[in-house]
Amino acid sequence: MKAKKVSNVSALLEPSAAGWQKVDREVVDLAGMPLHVQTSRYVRTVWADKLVGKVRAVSVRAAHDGERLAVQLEWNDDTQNTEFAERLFPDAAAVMFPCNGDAPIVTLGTADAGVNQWYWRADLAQPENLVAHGLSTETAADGAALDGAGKWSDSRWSVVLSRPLKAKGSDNVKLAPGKTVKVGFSIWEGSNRERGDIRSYSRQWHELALEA
Amino acid sequence: MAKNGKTAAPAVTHKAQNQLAMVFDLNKCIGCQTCSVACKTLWTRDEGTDYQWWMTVNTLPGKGCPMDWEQMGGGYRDGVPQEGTLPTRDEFGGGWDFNYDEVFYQGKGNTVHLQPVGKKPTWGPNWDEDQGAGEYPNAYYFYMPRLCNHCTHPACVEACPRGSMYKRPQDGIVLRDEENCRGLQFCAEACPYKKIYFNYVKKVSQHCIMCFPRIEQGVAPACARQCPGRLVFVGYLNDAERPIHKLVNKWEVALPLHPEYGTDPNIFYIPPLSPYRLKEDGSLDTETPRIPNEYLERLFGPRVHKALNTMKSELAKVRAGGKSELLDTLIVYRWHTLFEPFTRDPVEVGGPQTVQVL
Repeated sequence: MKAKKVSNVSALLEPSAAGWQKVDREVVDLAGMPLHVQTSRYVRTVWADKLVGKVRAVSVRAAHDGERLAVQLEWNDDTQNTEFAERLFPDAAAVMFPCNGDAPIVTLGTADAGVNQWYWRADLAQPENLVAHGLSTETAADGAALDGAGKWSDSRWSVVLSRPLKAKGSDNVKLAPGKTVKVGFSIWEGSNRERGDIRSYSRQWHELALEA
Repeated sequence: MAKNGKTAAPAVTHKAQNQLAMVFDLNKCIGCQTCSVACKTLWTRDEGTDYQWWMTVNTLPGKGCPMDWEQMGGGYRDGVPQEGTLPTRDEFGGGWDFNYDEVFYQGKGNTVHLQPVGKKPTWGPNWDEDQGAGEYPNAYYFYMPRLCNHCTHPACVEACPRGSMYKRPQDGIVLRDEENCRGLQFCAEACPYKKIYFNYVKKVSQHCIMCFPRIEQGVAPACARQCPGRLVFVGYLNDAERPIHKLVNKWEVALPLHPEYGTDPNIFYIPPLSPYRLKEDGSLDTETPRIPNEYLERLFGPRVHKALNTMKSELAKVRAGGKSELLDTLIVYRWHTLFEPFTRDPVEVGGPQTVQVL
């Protein structure tokens, strides 16, 4: 997929910004995060007969203006979950990058190879910039504040996550015009009590080419 | 090890080198809620903790707190984790707002009474107070103080995918690293005693910490220290010379609640004895205790019969003029014996302490 070069990406930071219609989209298939890799025996046992990863596809658009990359994610969701409620969890989404190329996506990296996650959750004012070194190890990534917003209408979430191309810290993927990076995606369906590594994810890394 | 120095979901350490335990003598509990309030005022006064009562006292038989928690699953069966239900804030029933301002500061003290404002509460801690069961003149009830059981096999610790919970090796207290908790609440699902709360402001789970900062200073937990009935023993389970070990292991009169949940609690209870039933003609039915043994077995397992029989025979011994070390222990002639070695007065310890969390 391509991150289209635009003149001013700030016009695209609103999820429903009209400008996104001019950017090609790619639909990425998602699957439930496998249970055998989950770190909790409780989770492996209790979710064995449940649907993990209710959302099975996400539509992705990306654009940059040489200064900032914005990624728009859209997916169908009949239930808008915006907070921790009674036996329910907030909807969430992540754009993920391997910090140094080889991190496996299914385990969200390894002790040596991290996965950077731009994490949006419906109850958070600001998205979180996280790094994982294996499942269930997310912590705050070094530096790099993210911007993000989500909008739900007509049974569909539209979420935009963005970051300046330049970012310090080894947790943050290096972005530049003309560069291609690996990218993956996760969606959490709050009405299905998805949280942590109970989520849907893109089973492989995809390539994201930033137009020169 | 992740590069930030935190372990990635470590293997659960179940066995602590030492295990702190508590014994509650239910024959002495008067349901006064001093323990609940002692805990509340010490630990759960912040925003997001309003509905949290780490210590609760409920009338039994009753639905408990959270409502019908015994039907919410969790724990283990044959060593296999069982699915649990997340209790809701309404089921815990706490966190009411009151019209304090109106009553105390707006000059309406003689016209308006203190009452909850907003959504009308339909449940609360000890909502079914003193209802109990049975029919007059054989109605019965007793009180059940409950807190985190600081289990030897803590289902919460094992359920956390992030390894954010742990059992301290030095005393077996079950704690949570709130900095690492992301509010996933698998712990609260897995806990069969439903003693884990979600803080809706901090977005982390929270539970009784057995007053570990007090323990570290030689001070008994607030619920135990403040108990006017002097019915709560605190100490190390393996301390052979002190009451906890004797009550639990030697005399076997202190039993865990719902041992079938498979987590090996470290909070124990002396089951309640009860008066005889009255027959229709008003005479005593000396064969039948007013609290049905079957009910107590449902709570404490089959060992409850032996425990009750031991208590009864010791009582008979003393009534016949004999001595009973067990009853002397339960009488607690010197209150220090409840807490040794945690007998320091909290006043001696002074203000907020810098506590090193393991």
